[in-house]
Amino acid sequence: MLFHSKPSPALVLAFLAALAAPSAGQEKIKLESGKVVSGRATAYDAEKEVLSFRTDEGQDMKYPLDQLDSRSVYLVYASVMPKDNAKGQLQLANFARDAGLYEHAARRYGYAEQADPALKTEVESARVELRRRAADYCIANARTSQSKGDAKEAQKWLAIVLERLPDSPQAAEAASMVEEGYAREANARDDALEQEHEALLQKDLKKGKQHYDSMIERTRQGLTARNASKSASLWKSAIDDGEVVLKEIERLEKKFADDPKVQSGAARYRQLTIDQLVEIHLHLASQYTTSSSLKNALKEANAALALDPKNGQALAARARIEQASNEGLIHW
Amino acid sequence: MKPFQLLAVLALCSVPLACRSSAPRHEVPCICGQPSADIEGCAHHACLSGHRNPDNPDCVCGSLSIPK
Repeated sequence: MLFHSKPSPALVLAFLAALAAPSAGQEKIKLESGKVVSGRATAYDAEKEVLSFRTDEGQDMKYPLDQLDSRSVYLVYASVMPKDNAKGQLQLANFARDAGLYEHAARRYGYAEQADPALKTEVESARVELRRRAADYCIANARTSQSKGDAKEAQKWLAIVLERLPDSPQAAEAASMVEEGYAREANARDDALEQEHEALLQKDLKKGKQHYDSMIERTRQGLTARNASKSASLWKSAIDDGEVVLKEIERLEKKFADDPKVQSGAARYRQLTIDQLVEIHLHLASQYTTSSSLKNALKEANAALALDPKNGQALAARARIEQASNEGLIHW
Repeated sequence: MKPFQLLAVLALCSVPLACRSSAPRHEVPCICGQPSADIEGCAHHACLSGHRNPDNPDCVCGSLSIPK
């Protein structure tokens, strides 16, 4: 047995040292070829643009930046650029934007502006280009998802354009794509349930189904409204619809307490309704974030988590809102 | 060292382990390198606190520790 033999103090110390060693000693960089190298950076020659790196195997390597993947190049520049160097942050933001790291670019523009408010005009014109490219990227991802038959993923990308980049020229295109595809994708979610519980839907769940359909329709209308306050109002109405649906499901579960088929159908409808309500709260959170109403955004993210405490998107949204609130930066 | 003392030491040592990058704090995974992260950013706790997630080679949050 492990604990019956007496370990030597040296062994215990070595074990403790290994556990306490900070994981930050391990760094990974990616070469242009896609190969990942693990080790740690030892120096950077800014003039020659060469990174010195000691690999885990003990080899001392020198990597000119043009041999690194653009993300790793960004990482090197970010490592040596002080946050208060306004011009440097602006250049770094432009580099991130060109490398497709749009969120990083948006944050760096914020740092540049914070460090030197006189750069505001220059930063704003760079941001316009950032928004244009980011919107293009979202539309391209939406199209790719659509061509792969992943309508839900396509809608996610379109919603980003509409909520985060509402003034971009691509927003009109995104709205028309949502108009075409959202209802079809959302309505398809309960097709199987509709067939299984046709009789119930005609009678006991008729009111609930009407509100469910209204919730879906109002979510879509909110996405395509192209007007923030109108969108918010439609989404809030959609939430009201969802709450009625949940009450109806509860009533039905009590009425048919001994019917396992109804119980199972009710549970599935409840999950669909909760998923939709979470989506709506996150649309609201995203829109409030864009309009700097971080307190309201946080409230919506918390409402989503109250419905589904382990929802990954809601957890991530809340963390991002808290971060934006702490940093005092509006990214886009 | 008695067995229970060693156990206590091991329990204490597990605290720094739990703080490492792979710990499921907030249950938000690191999505750096995925298309969503390019637009929305990554909400992994290390990324949000301005550190790089050493487990993800595509993570560009934080910085390399380049000696001055």
